[in-house]
Amino acid sequence: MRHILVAVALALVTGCASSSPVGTIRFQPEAPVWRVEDKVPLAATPKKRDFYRLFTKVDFVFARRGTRAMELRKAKRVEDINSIDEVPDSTWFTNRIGMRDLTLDELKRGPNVSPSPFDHRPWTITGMKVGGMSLGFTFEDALKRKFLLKFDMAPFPEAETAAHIIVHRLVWAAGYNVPEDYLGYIRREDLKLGDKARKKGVDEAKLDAALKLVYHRDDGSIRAMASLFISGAPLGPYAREGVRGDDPNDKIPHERRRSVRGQYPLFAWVDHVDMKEDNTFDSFKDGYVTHYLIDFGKALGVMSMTDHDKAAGNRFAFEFGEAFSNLFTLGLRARSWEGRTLTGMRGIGMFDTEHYRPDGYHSMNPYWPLRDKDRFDAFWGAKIVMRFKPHEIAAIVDEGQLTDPVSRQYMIDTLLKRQRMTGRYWFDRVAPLDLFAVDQAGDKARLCFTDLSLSYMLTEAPTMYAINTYDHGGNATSFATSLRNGEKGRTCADVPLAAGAHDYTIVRLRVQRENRELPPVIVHVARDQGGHLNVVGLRRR
Amino acid sequence: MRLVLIFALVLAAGPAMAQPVVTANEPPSPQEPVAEEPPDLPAPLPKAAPPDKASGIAVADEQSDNERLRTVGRGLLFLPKLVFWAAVQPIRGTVYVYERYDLRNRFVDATFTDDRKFGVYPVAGYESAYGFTVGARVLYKDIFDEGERIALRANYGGEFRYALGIGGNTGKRFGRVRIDADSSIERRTREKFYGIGNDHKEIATPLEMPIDPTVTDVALQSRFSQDVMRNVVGVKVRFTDELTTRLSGAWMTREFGGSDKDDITVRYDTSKLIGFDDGLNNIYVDNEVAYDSRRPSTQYATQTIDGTGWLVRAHGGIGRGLKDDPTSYIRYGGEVQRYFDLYRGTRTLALRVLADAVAGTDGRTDGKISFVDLPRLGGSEFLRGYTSGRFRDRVVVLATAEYTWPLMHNASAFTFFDVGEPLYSFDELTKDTDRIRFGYGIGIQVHTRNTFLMRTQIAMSREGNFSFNLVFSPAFGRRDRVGRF
Repeated sequence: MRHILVAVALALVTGCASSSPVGTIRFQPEAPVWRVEDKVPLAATPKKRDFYRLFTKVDFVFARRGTRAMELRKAKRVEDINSIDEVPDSTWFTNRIGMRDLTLDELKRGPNVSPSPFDHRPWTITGMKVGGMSLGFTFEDALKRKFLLKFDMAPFPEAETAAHIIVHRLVWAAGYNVPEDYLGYIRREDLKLGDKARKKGVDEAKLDAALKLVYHRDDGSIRAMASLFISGAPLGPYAREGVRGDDPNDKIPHERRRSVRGQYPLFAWVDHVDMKEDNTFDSFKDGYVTHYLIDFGKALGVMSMTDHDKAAGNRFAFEFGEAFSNLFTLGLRARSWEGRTLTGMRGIGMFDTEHYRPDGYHSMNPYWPLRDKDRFDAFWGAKIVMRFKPHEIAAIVDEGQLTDPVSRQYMIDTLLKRQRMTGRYWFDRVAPLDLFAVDQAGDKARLCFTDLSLSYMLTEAPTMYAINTYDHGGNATSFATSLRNGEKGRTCADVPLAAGAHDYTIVRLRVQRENRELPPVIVHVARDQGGHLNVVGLRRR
Repeated sequence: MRLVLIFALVLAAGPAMAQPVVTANEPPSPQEPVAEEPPDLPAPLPKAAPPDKASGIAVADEQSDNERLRTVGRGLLFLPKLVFWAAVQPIRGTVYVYERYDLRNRFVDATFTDDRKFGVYPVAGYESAYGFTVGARVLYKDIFDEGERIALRANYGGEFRYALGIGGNTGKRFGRVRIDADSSIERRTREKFYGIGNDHKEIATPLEMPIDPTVTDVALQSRFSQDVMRNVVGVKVRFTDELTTRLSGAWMTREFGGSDKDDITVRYDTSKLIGFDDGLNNIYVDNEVAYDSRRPSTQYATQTIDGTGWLVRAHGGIGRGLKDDPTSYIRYGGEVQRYFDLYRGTRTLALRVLADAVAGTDGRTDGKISFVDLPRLGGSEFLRGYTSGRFRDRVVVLATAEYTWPLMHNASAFTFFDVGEPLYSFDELTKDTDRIRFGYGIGIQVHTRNTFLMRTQIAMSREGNFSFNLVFSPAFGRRDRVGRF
């Protein structure tokens, strides 16, 4: 009788097993997976995916937007994560900064492993495209490699190329695939008109007229950004939702990929407002498809500057709800981004901290994966953002070759401030505990973890951790333990191992600081086949 | 009772029974930015798995009740979603075909020369008062590379039975001086006439006897047709970016007749309407001086809508008949517009007063001015809320206040209040408040950064009549006045 009463009391204190505070999810007693096999050779080259910009726009402006709203979509968690809420290496994402040692040279170089085209001139122009506020060429360098060539438009010297290169390096270091992009200076005589371009109607006069639109230095040299064509067969952009039907390796709908949804804090940080389907790229090489991100020239506030749109990055171009609200409020409601201004610094777009809201980022048009992101995806992305150290950010900014030291310092400072704002915001939406490790400590397990808010010094508040343990069935195995944070945010707790197969033990951790408790993180610990204790699973609430 | 006791004991003993691992340490340094040393990192393991098997989940989380409710809602919305999706397919299909087959470029390739200077292309439009118009244009632009252009045009339907015209200008050829010329013939079959004067009771059905519009201002809804031949020549001189003058002359011949619907000849005694029976053959010479500093007040708003500045304009002209046409009048007037930037160039208030008057004629019986040349009020621009040509008399005055605010990227809303009065002379102005006409309403305008696309507005008149307009130019447009009527 006494045992029954104690069990009832324990259940009342810790919650019933059937609606256990640790849920019903259980993990295999194995170490986490850090690489997925999505390079299984395909029998045939997948079809190139045609992309129609206007057609797609109709869909995301109202057609698909409407049906998605009526689907009452469940806020589904991502499917491309491993058991500890991380993204394994794949053709989409490679764990880089903070997960393996990246030298400063690597960070500065990014994916660029080929010889620079600036060392292999002259360049033979093969095509030209003139837009309203953009100009692009294709060319072959002296080594016969194909590149895309971009410039800064004359009114905005250094801005677009610097933004592209800085964000390009950051995105690569964060873990994404990007083309090899180079920045440098050329002279008019470095450009030769090729037969391909002539056949397309480009002549010397048109080339000269086009080049008049772009920024030249006083010595007549032209600042240029050359992007090496991605090797392999081009397959077009990857879809914003669903999978590529003819790629058996593409098993997870793209809107349920942490590697895509988790881009939100990263893109918010660098104001990459031009995130859209046509700035993604699939390439088929060596029998499998690799997924790329391209074109970052409108980031870092450049879109707002060149397109004269203060709202860029702060709301969608077509925001019917806001339009409806504005209609009836007669414009009396001021919008936060309306106060954005240019700094007047050379090469700096409308990029600041005063108007930055880490959760207020919008690409120009809805991009479903970013729309579907949840606070867990954002936490993952924010962790990556926070891994860049100040000297690393400075080194990457230097790759943007901003010639005015004031601009350079402003860019570094702004990135650092926005980085911390990003971390502070998203680390406050979940229990920011990470880097779990478990070891045997006598008959107990010593579970260590890092509180990222403390380790990054985003808060000074004293922190308490409440710990409960459960067995595989979800039954409480101990009473709540409370402990204070350790040094540099690293804290260890000895927890009793539950009886049962693999000593499967579930630890529920709650973070208490500043008179509030963050949602818990639930850590699953078990012995693998070799008898070693591992953190086999992790679920944030 | 024992249960409660045990429970209380458990609660009380909980913290004491635990073995806290309390690490007393100093609070972290508040210095910014982050410390250089990163936290300890786990070494990624080489283990690999299929992409959809990496989660390591053995047993999934249960579905919550909340999710079951969502499933019910999803079921209820299944049919509406299907209907919506079916409804948008024609739009999607059209856009797909347009883009897939590159129709725009194919169209331009087919209708314009390679240098894009010369082309023939169809046009179509819609005006709520008149319906659909279709037509074609032949355009030769940038003829000598200084923006010179010449265009032939043909329209059918809508406002016109048909219209043919040719026009052109010298572009930047002569620097600050631009010469333009335009000739056209038009047959308009649905012109509106509501008498002369200021009667506010609009009558839709004919009276027993046709009314003499020169002795009564009864506003009977009627329509007439006119065949117009118009030749206009103008010289515009731009002294500064703001200050311009335009000297222009128009020679016009006009023949009038009845209409299939609401025939004017049944409703009004058209023998009393100057020029109706005999037609008109006259010239009008006009000079206008304008100071126009209106402009967008920020580069971060559409450049198609002004946000600040002034327009001060005055005009004076003489109309004279040719051959047997007794036309002889003087026309004069002016306009002042002022734009106020209320907030960051995106909330603007525009105020406008204008007057247009004729002199040297009684406007009714002396034969010196035809009813079609009298100043008018009504339509989508001048005294909104009333139909086009609703009022005409020797003098018209109008005041407008319009407030514009942004809705979203390429759209803004505006609300307006127009107050106006058709008068016999300026002496009558505001003597009788019952004679003041006003309209108010709201609208939405769609634009890109550099192109004004359309304006749609709903207006209500003092008498409670509604009007709806779909217009392809801003409310306070910059059209040349001569030949406008």
